[in-house]
Amino acid sequence: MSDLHEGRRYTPAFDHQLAEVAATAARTAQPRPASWIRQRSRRATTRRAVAGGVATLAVLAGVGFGLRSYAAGRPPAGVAATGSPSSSPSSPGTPATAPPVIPSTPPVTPSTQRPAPGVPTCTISQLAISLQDGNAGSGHRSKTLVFTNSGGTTCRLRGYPGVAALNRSGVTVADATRRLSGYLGGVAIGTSPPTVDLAAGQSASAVVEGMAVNLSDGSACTPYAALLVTPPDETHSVRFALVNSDMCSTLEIHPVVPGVTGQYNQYN
Amino acid sequence: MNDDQDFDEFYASSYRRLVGQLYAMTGNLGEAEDSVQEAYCRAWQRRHRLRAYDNPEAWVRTVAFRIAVSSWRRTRRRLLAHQRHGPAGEVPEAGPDHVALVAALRRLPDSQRQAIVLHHLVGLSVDDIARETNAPAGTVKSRLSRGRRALADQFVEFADLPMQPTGKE
Repeated sequence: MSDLHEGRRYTPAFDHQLAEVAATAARTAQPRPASWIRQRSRRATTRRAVAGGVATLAVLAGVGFGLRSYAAGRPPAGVAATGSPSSSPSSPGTPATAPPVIPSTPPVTPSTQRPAPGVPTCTISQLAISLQDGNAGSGHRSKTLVFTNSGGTTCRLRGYPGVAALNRSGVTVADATRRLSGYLGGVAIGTSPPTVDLAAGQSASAVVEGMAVNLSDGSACTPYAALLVTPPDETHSVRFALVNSDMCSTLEIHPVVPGVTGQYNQYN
Repeated sequence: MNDDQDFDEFYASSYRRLVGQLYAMTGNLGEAEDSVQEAYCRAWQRRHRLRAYDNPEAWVRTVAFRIAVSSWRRTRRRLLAHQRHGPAGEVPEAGPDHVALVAALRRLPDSQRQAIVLHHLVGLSVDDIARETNAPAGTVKSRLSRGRRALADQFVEFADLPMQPTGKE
Protein backbone atom coordinates (compact mmCIF):
# COMPACT_ATOMS: atom_id res chain seq x y z
CA MET A 1 0.00 0.00 0.00
CA SER A 2 2.87 2.33 0.58
CA ASP A 3 3.33 3.17 -3.07
CA LEU A 4 -0.23 4.39 -3.24
CA HIS A 5 0.67 7.38 -1.16
CA GLU A 6 3.61 8.66 -3.08
CA GLY A 7 1.48 10.11 -5.82
CA ARG A 8 3.35 8.32 -8.57
CA ARG A 9 4.57 4.88 -9.23
CA TYR A 10 7.07 3.57 -11.69
CA THR A 11 5.70 0.56 -13.47
CA PRO A 12 8.32 -2.16 -13.36
CA ALA A 13 10.01 -2.66 -16.71
CA PHE A 14 8.83 -6.23 -17.04
CA ASP A 15 5.15 -5.50 -16.41
CA HIS A 16 5.33 -2.58 -18.76
CA GLN A 17 6.98 -4.49 -21.58
CA LEU A 18 4.69 -7.45 -21.11
CA ALA A 19 1.67 -5.19 -21.33
CA GLU A 20 2.97 -3.70 -24.55
CA VAL A 21 3.73 -7.10 -26.03
CA ALA A 22 0.18 -8.21 -25.30
CA ALA A 23 -1.28 -4.95 -26.57
CA THR A 24 0.62 -5.22 -29.82
CA ALA A 25 -0.62 -8.76 -30.33
CA ALA A 26 -4.14 -7.74 -29.38
CA ARG A 27 -4.09 -4.93 -31.88
CA THR A 28 -2.75 -7.19 -34.60
CA ALA A 29 -5.37 -9.86 -33.94
CA GLN A 30 -7.89 -10.47 -36.68
CA PRO A 31 -11.12 -11.46 -34.99
CA ARG A 32 -13.60 -13.33 -37.08
CA PRO A 33 -17.19 -12.12 -36.86
CA ALA A 34 -18.99 -13.34 -33.76
CA SER A 35 -21.57 -14.94 -36.04
CA TRP A 36 -18.80 -17.10 -37.46
CA ILE A 37 -17.93 -18.34 -33.99
CA ARG A 38 -21.55 -19.16 -33.31
CA GLN A 39 -21.96 -20.96 -36.63
CA ARG A 40 -18.77 -22.91 -36.16
CA SER A 41 -19.82 -23.97 -32.67
CA ARG A 42 -22.93 -25.59 -34.09
CA ARG A 43 -21.00 -27.48 -36.75
CA ALA A 44 -18.30 -28.60 -34.37
CA THR A 45 -20.58 -29.89 -31.65
CA THR A 46 -20.84 -33.44 -32.89
CA ARG A 47 -17.17 -33.91 -33.47
CA ARG A 48 -16.24 -32.45 -30.14
CA ALA A 49 -18.83 -34.45 -28.28
CA VAL A 50 -16.82 -37.52 -29.20
CA ALA A 51 -13.28 -36.25 -29.25
CA GLY A 52 -13.28 -33.61 -26.59
CA GLY A 53 -15.96 -34.62 -24.15
CA VAL A 54 -13.63 -35.92 -21.50
CA ALA A 55 -11.21 -33.03 -21.86
CA THR A 56 -13.99 -30.46 -21.69
CA LEU A 57 -15.39 -32.00 -18.56
CA ALA A 58 -11.96 -31.86 -17.00
CA VAL A 59 -11.63 -28.22 -17.94
CA LEU A 60 -14.99 -27.40 -16.44
CA ALA A 61 -14.20 -29.21 -13.26
CA GLY A 62 -11.00 -27.24 -12.97
CA VAL A 63 -12.39 -23.88 -13.85
CA GLY A 64 -15.85 -23.95 -12.41
CA PHE A 65 -14.58 -23.72 -8.88
CA GLY A 66 -12.36 -20.81 -9.58
CA LEU A 67 -14.58 -18.05 -10.82
CA ARG A 68 -16.10 -16.60 -7.71
CA SER A 69 -13.68 -14.31 -6.08
CA TYR A 70 -11.84 -12.12 -8.52
CA ALA A 71 -13.01 -9.00 -6.81
CA ALA A 72 -10.41 -9.46 -4.09
CA GLY A 73 -7.49 -9.62 -6.49
CA ARG A 74 -5.02 -6.97 -7.43
CA PRO A 75 -6.39 -4.36 -9.77
CA PRO A 76 -5.80 -6.03 -13.09
CA ALA A 77 -3.00 -4.67 -15.17
CA GLY A 78 -4.53 -5.97 -18.34
CA VAL A 79 -4.63 -4.21 -21.64
CA ALA A 80 -7.43 -1.74 -22.06
CA ALA A 81 -9.56 -3.74 -19.74
CA THR A 82 -13.31 -3.74 -19.79
CA GLY A 83 -15.84 -4.85 -17.26
CA SER A 84 -17.76 -8.07 -17.39
CA PRO A 85 -19.36 -7.68 -20.75
CA SER A 86 -22.57 -9.48 -19.98
CA SER A 87 -23.51 -7.17 -17.16
CA SER A 88 -22.02 -3.83 -18.06
CA PRO A 89 -23.85 -1.34 -20.19
CA SER A 90 -21.64 -1.57 -23.19
CA SER A 91 -21.95 -0.94 -26.84
CA PRO A 92 -20.83 -3.87 -28.93
CA GLY A 93 -18.22 -4.04 -31.54
CA THR A 94 -15.46 -1.82 -30.30
CA PRO A 95 -12.11 -3.59 -30.32
CA ALA A 96 -10.76 -3.58 -26.84
CA THR A 97 -7.36 -2.18 -27.60
CA ALA A 98 -7.55 -0.06 -30.70
CA PRO A 99 -6.72 3.44 -29.57
CA PRO A 100 -9.04 5.89 -31.22
CA VAL A 101 -6.99 8.00 -33.56
CA ILE A 102 -8.58 11.38 -33.69
CA PRO A 103 -6.91 13.60 -36.21
CA SER A 104 -5.78 16.75 -34.55
CA THR A 105 -3.59 19.61 -35.50
CA PRO A 106 -0.74 19.61 -33.05
CA PRO A 107 0.08 23.21 -32.29
CA VAL A 108 3.50 22.15 -31.06
CA THR A 109 5.94 20.15 -33.09
CA PRO A 110 7.28 17.43 -30.84
CA SER A 111 10.91 16.65 -31.39
CA THR A 112 10.63 12.95 -30.81
CA GLN A 113 13.92 12.02 -32.40
CA ARG A 114 16.53 14.54 -31.32
CA PRO A 115 15.20 16.85 -28.69
CA ALA A 116 17.13 20.07 -28.58
CA PRO A 117 19.44 20.06 -25.59
CA GLY A 118 19.21 22.54 -22.82
CA VAL A 119 15.46 22.98 -22.63
CA PRO A 120 14.53 22.77 -18.95
CA THR A 121 11.75 20.56 -17.69
CA CYS A 122 8.56 22.43 -16.93
CA THR A 123 8.10 22.92 -13.22
CA ILE A 124 4.70 23.11 -11.65
CA SER A 125 5.12 26.84 -11.07
CA GLN A 126 5.47 27.37 -14.82
CA LEU A 127 2.38 25.37 -15.67
CA ALA A 128 -1.30 26.15 -15.67
CA ILE A 129 -2.94 22.75 -15.29
CA SER A 130 -6.56 22.02 -16.01
CA LEU A 131 -8.73 18.94 -16.15
CA GLN A 132 -11.09 18.76 -19.12
CA ASP A 133 -13.95 16.42 -19.85
CA GLY A 134 -12.97 13.55 -22.04
CA ASN A 135 -14.79 10.71 -23.70
CA ALA A 136 -16.87 7.74 -22.66
CA GLY A 137 -17.63 4.40 -24.21
CA SER A 138 -18.29 0.79 -23.21
CA GLY A 139 -17.84 1.52 -19.55
CA HIS A 140 -14.64 3.47 -20.13
CA ARG A 141 -14.30 7.09 -19.09
CA SER A 142 -11.62 9.63 -19.70
CA LYS A 143 -10.53 13.10 -18.69
CA THR A 144 -7.90 15.20 -20.35
CA LEU A 145 -5.17 16.91 -18.38
CA VAL A 146 -3.99 20.07 -20.09
CA PHE A 147 -0.64 21.60 -19.20
CA THR A 148 -0.14 25.13 -20.45
CA ASN A 149 3.18 26.91 -20.20
CA SER A 150 2.28 30.01 -18.24
CA GLY A 151 5.89 31.05 -17.72
CA GLY A 152 7.93 33.24 -19.98
CA THR A 153 10.38 30.69 -21.31
CA THR A 154 10.23 27.44 -23.22
CA CYS A 155 10.10 24.31 -21.12
CA ARG A 156 9.82 20.61 -21.80
CA LEU A 157 7.43 17.85 -20.85
CA ARG A 158 7.93 14.20 -21.59
CA GLY A 159 6.41 11.01 -20.26
CA TYR A 160 3.70 10.31 -17.78
CA PRO A 161 2.16 12.62 -15.21
CA GLY A 162 1.60 11.02 -11.83
CA VAL A 163 -2.10 10.57 -11.16
CA ALA A 164 -3.74 9.28 -8.01
CA ALA A 165 -7.45 9.04 -7.29
CA LEU A 166 -8.83 10.16 -3.94
CA ASN A 167 -12.07 9.36 -2.22
CA ARG A 168 -14.30 11.93 -0.52
CA SER A 169 -12.14 11.83 2.56
CA GLY A 170 -9.07 12.70 0.54
CA VAL A 171 -7.59 9.25 0.95
CA THR A 172 -5.76 7.79 -2.03
CA VAL A 173 -7.78 4.88 -3.38
CA ALA A 174 -6.02 4.27 -6.69
CA ASP A 175 -2.76 5.06 -8.38
CA ALA A 176 -2.89 5.36 -12.15
CA THR A 177 -1.05 2.71 -14.09
CA ARG A 178 1.18 4.10 -16.80
CA ARG A 179 0.05 2.87 -20.17
CA LEU A 180 1.45 3.88 -23.51
CA SER A 181 -1.93 3.25 -25.04
CA GLY A 182 -5.38 2.58 -23.74
CA TYR A 183 -9.00 2.51 -24.72
CA LEU A 184 -9.55 6.22 -25.00
CA GLY A 185 -6.10 7.70 -25.47
CA GLY A 186 -2.39 7.28 -25.59
CA VAL A 187 0.21 6.97 -28.30
CA ALA A 188 0.77 4.04 -30.63
CA ILE A 189 2.20 0.88 -29.14
CA GLY A 190 5.80 0.47 -30.17
CA THR A 191 6.49 4.19 -30.13
CA SER A 192 7.87 6.28 -27.31
CA PRO A 193 6.22 9.11 -25.46
CA PRO A 194 6.96 12.26 -27.43
CA THR A 195 9.13 15.03 -26.10
CA VAL A 196 7.02 18.16 -26.05
CA ASP A 197 8.73 21.53 -25.90
CA LEU A 198 6.29 24.22 -24.88
CA ALA A 199 6.94 27.83 -25.78
CA ALA A 200 5.19 30.35 -23.59
CA GLY A 201 1.44 29.94 -23.95
CA GLN A 202 1.55 26.55 -25.64
CA SER A 203 -0.16 23.49 -24.27
CA ALA A 204 0.36 19.78 -23.95
CA SER A 205 -2.07 17.22 -22.64
CA ALA A 206 -2.46 13.69 -21.34
CA VAL A 207 -5.45 11.39 -21.12
CA VAL A 208 -6.50 9.91 -17.80
CA GLU A 209 -8.81 6.99 -18.21
CA GLY A 210 -10.68 4.56 -16.05
CA MET A 211 -13.87 2.64 -15.91
CA ALA A 212 -17.32 3.30 -14.53
CA VAL A 213 -17.73 -0.25 -13.23
CA ASN A 214 -15.69 -2.77 -11.34
CA LEU A 215 -13.45 -4.57 -13.75
CA SER A 216 -13.90 -7.88 -12.00
CA ASP A 217 -17.63 -8.28 -12.30
CA GLY A 218 -19.09 -5.23 -13.97
CA SER A 219 -20.76 -4.06 -10.79
CA ALA A 220 -21.11 -0.46 -9.71
CA CYS A 221 -18.32 1.15 -7.72
CA THR A 222 -17.86 4.36 -5.78
CA PRO A 223 -16.77 7.18 -8.07
CA TYR A 224 -13.42 8.82 -7.46
CA ALA A 225 -13.92 12.18 -5.76
CA ALA A 226 -10.71 13.86 -6.89
CA LEU A 227 -7.52 13.38 -8.83
CA LEU A 228 -4.09 14.32 -7.55
CA VAL A 229 -1.90 15.23 -10.50
CA THR A 230 1.87 15.54 -10.62
CA PRO A 231 3.46 16.78 -13.86
CA PRO A 232 6.19 14.57 -15.35
CA ASP A 233 9.49 14.83 -13.49
CA GLU A 234 7.90 16.94 -10.78
CA THR A 235 7.27 16.21 -7.15
CA HIS A 236 4.57 18.78 -6.48
CA SER A 237 0.94 18.01 -7.12
CA VAL A 238 -2.30 19.76 -7.83
CA ARG A 239 -5.71 18.44 -6.92
CA PHE A 240 -8.83 18.40 -9.05
CA ALA A 241 -12.28 17.62 -7.74
CA LEU A 242 -14.23 15.31 -10.02
CA VAL A 243 -17.75 16.53 -10.58
CA ASN A 244 -20.36 14.47 -12.40
CA SER A 245 -17.83 11.72 -12.96
CA ASP A 246 -18.57 8.04 -12.51
CA MET A 247 -15.00 6.91 -13.11
CA CYS A 248 -14.32 4.47 -10.32
CA SER A 249 -11.82 1.75 -11.26
CA THR A 250 -8.88 0.74 -13.44
CA LEU A 251 -7.22 4.14 -13.43
CA GLU A 252 -4.65 4.68 -16.19
CA ILE A 253 -2.55 7.58 -17.38
CA HIS A 254 -1.21 8.00 -20.90
CA PRO A 255 1.83 10.03 -21.96
CA VAL A 256 1.89 13.77 -22.45
CA VAL A 257 1.32 14.68 -26.10
CA PRO A 258 1.28 18.01 -27.95
CA GLY A 259 -1.92 20.00 -28.06
CA VAL A 260 -4.95 20.16 -25.83
CA THR A 261 -6.90 17.10 -26.94
CA GLY A 262 -4.77 14.40 -25.35
CA GLN A 263 -4.86 12.64 -28.71
CA TYR A 264 -1.78 12.16 -30.78
CA ASN A 265 -1.54 10.87 -34.28
CA GLN A 266 2.14 10.54 -34.96
CA TYR A 267 1.43 9.53 -38.54
CA ASN A 268 0.27 13.04 -39.37
CA MET B 1 -32.33 -11.78 -23.01
CA ASN B 2 -30.94 -12.25 -26.46
CA ASP B 3 -28.28 -14.95 -26.57
CA ASP B 4 -26.75 -13.83 -29.84
CA GLN B 5 -26.42 -10.24 -28.78
CA ASP B 6 -25.04 -11.02 -25.34
CA PHE B 7 -22.48 -13.37 -26.76
CA ASP B 8 -21.48 -10.97 -29.51
CA GLU B 9 -20.90 -8.20 -27.00
CA PHE B 10 -18.90 -10.49 -24.79
CA TYR B 11 -16.85 -11.65 -27.75
CA ALA B 12 -16.28 -8.17 -29.15
CA SER B 13 -15.25 -6.69 -25.84
CA SER B 14 -12.90 -9.45 -24.72
CA TYR B 15 -11.46 -11.13 -27.81
CA ARG B 16 -8.47 -8.88 -28.40
CA ARG B 17 -7.54 -8.70 -24.76
CA LEU B 18 -7.60 -12.49 -24.47
CA VAL B 19 -5.54 -12.88 -27.64
CA GLY B 20 -2.95 -10.55 -26.12
CA GLN B 21 -2.85 -12.64 -22.95
CA LEU B 22 -2.69 -15.94 -24.80
CA TYR B 23 0.00 -14.56 -27.05
CA ALA B 24 2.04 -13.76 -23.97
CA MET B 25 1.44 -17.32 -22.77
CA THR B 26 2.25 -19.03 -26.06
CA GLY B 27 4.52 -16.66 -27.99
CA ASN B 28 2.64 -17.43 -31.19
CA LEU B 29 -0.07 -15.14 -32.46
CA GLY B 30 -1.64 -17.73 -34.77
CA GLU B 31 -1.91 -20.24 -31.94
CA ALA B 32 -3.19 -17.56 -29.60
CA GLU B 33 -5.95 -16.58 -32.00
CA ASP B 34 -6.86 -20.16 -32.83
CA SER B 35 -7.07 -21.26 -29.24
CA VAL B 36 -9.02 -18.19 -28.13
CA GLN B 37 -11.40 -18.65 -31.03
CA GLU B 38 -11.88 -22.29 -30.16
CA ALA B 39 -12.50 -21.38 -26.53
CA TYR B 40 -15.21 -18.92 -27.57
CA CYS B 41 -16.84 -21.67 -29.60
CA ARG B 42 -16.99 -23.79 -26.49
CA ALA B 43 -18.25 -20.81 -24.51
CA TRP B 44 -21.09 -20.38 -26.99
CA GLN B 45 -21.99 -24.04 -26.70
CA ARG B 46 -22.33 -23.76 -22.95
CA ARG B 47 -23.51 -20.16 -22.85
CA HIS B 48 -26.34 -20.83 -20.44
CA ARG B 49 -24.05 -22.33 -17.84
CA LEU B 50 -21.40 -19.72 -18.50
CA ARG B 51 -23.80 -16.91 -17.74
CA ALA B 52 -23.98 -18.08 -14.15
CA TYR B 53 -20.24 -17.64 -13.71
CA ASP B 54 -18.92 -14.44 -12.23
CA ASN B 55 -16.15 -14.21 -14.74
CA PRO B 56 -16.81 -15.85 -18.08
CA GLU B 57 -13.73 -14.18 -19.50
CA ALA B 58 -11.53 -16.10 -17.07
CA TRP B 59 -13.27 -19.27 -18.18
CA VAL B 60 -12.49 -18.56 -21.81
CA ARG B 61 -8.88 -17.70 -20.93
CA THR B 62 -8.36 -20.93 -19.03
CA VAL B 63 -9.94 -23.05 -21.74
CA ALA B 64 -7.92 -21.25 -24.40
CA PHE B 65 -4.69 -21.89 -22.53
CA ARG B 66 -5.45 -25.57 -22.18
CA ILE B 67 -6.30 -25.78 -25.86
CA ALA B 68 -3.09 -23.96 -26.76
CA VAL B 69 -0.92 -26.14 -24.58
CA SER B 70 -2.50 -29.41 -25.58
CA SER B 71 -2.56 -28.45 -29.24
CA TRP B 72 1.01 -27.41 -28.96
CA ARG B 73 2.01 -30.81 -27.78
CA ARG B 74 -0.30 -32.82 -29.96
CA THR B 75 -0.87 -31.26 -33.30
CA ARG B 76 1.22 -28.19 -33.63
CA ARG B 77 1.22 -28.65 -37.35
CA ARG B 78 -2.51 -28.54 -37.62
CA LEU B 79 -2.57 -25.16 -35.95
CA LEU B 80 0.26 -23.85 -38.04
CA ALA B 81 -1.63 -24.89 -41.15
CA HIS B 82 -4.30 -22.30 -40.69
CA GLN B 83 -2.64 -19.65 -38.69
CA ARG B 84 -2.97 -16.20 -40.16
CA HIS B 85 0.23 -14.50 -39.22
CA GLY B 86 3.08 -16.00 -41.18
CA PRO B 87 5.01 -19.18 -40.61
CA ALA B 88 6.33 -18.34 -37.15
CA GLY B 89 3.17 -16.77 -35.78
CA GLU B 90 5.01 -13.56 -35.21
CA VAL B 91 3.54 -10.16 -34.60
CA PRO B 92 4.49 -8.09 -37.65
CA GLU B 93 5.27 -4.86 -35.80
CA ALA B 94 7.22 -6.48 -32.98
CA GLY B 95 10.29 -4.47 -31.97
CA PRO B 96 13.50 -5.93 -30.54
CA ASP B 97 12.31 -5.62 -26.92
CA HIS B 98 9.12 -7.40 -27.83
CA VAL B 99 10.95 -10.25 -29.56
CA ALA B 100 13.41 -10.62 -26.69
CA LEU B 101 10.65 -10.74 -24.08
CA VAL B 102 8.62 -13.29 -26.01
CA ALA B 103 11.72 -15.42 -26.53
CA ALA B 104 12.55 -15.28 -22.81
CA LEU B 105 9.01 -16.28 -21.88
CA ARG B 106 9.03 -19.15 -24.33
CA ARG B 107 12.03 -20.63 -22.59
CA LEU B 108 9.93 -21.07 -19.44
CA PRO B 109 7.86 -24.20 -18.85
CA ASP B 110 4.17 -23.74 -19.69
CA SER B 111 3.02 -23.62 -16.09
CA GLN B 112 5.56 -20.95 -15.10
CA ARG B 113 4.78 -18.86 -18.13
CA GLN B 114 1.07 -19.08 -17.44
CA ALA B 115 1.57 -18.00 -13.83
CA ILE B 116 3.85 -15.13 -14.81
CA VAL B 117 1.39 -13.81 -17.37
CA LEU B 118 -1.61 -14.17 -15.08
CA HIS B 119 0.17 -12.25 -12.36
CA HIS B 120 2.13 -9.63 -14.25
CA LEU B 121 -0.20 -9.00 -17.19
CA VAL B 122 -3.69 -9.97 -16.10
CA GLY B 123 -3.04 -8.76 -12.56
CA LEU B 124 -4.30 -11.78 -10.64
CA SER B 125 -3.22 -12.51 -7.08
CA VAL B 126 -1.56 -15.77 -6.13
CA ASP B 127 -4.87 -17.08 -4.79
CA ASP B 128 -6.68 -16.10 -7.98
CA ILE B 129 -4.05 -17.89 -10.06
CA ALA B 130 -4.33 -20.92 -7.84
CA ARG B 131 -8.05 -21.03 -8.50
CA GLU B 132 -7.73 -20.39 -12.21
CA THR B 133 -5.03 -23.00 -12.71
CA ASN B 134 -6.40 -25.50 -10.20
CA ALA B 135 -3.06 -25.60 -8.38
CA PRO B 136 -2.15 -25.06 -4.72
CA ALA B 137 -1.09 -21.52 -3.81
CA GLY B 138 2.36 -22.78 -2.80
CA THR B 139 2.85 -24.25 -6.24
CA VAL B 140 1.82 -20.98 -7.85
CA LYS B 141 4.31 -19.07 -5.70
CA SER B 142 7.03 -21.47 -6.67
CA ARG B 143 6.19 -21.15 -10.37
CA LEU B 144 6.20 -17.36 -10.13
CA SER B 145 9.49 -17.38 -8.27
CA ARG B 146 11.25 -19.72 -10.67
CA GLY B 147 9.85 -17.91 -13.66
CA ARG B 148 11.06 -14.55 -12.37
CA ARG B 149 14.49 -15.89 -11.61
CA ALA B 150 14.75 -17.27 -15.12
CA LEU B 151 13.86 -13.79 -16.40
CA ALA B 152 16.30 -12.02 -14.10
CA ASP B 153 19.03 -11.80 -16.75
CA GLN B 154 16.83 -9.51 -18.79
CA PHE B 155 14.88 -7.77 -16.06
CA VAL B 156 16.98 -6.46 -13.22
CA GLU B 157 13.93 -5.96 -11.04
CA PHE B 158 13.86 -9.77 -10.67
CA ALA B 159 17.57 -10.09 -9.95
CA ASP B 160 17.45 -9.57 -6.19
CA LEU B 161 14.59 -11.87 -5.38
CA PRO B 162 15.07 -14.07 -2.33
CA MET B 163 15.67 -17.69 -3.13
CA GLN B 164 12.84 -20.10 -2.57
CA PRO B 165 13.68 -23.06 -0.37
CA THR B 166 12.31 -25.24 -3.16
CA GLY B 167 14.59 -23.62 -5.74
CA LYS B 168 17.27 -25.39 -7.68
CA GLU B 169 20.15 -23.69 -5.89
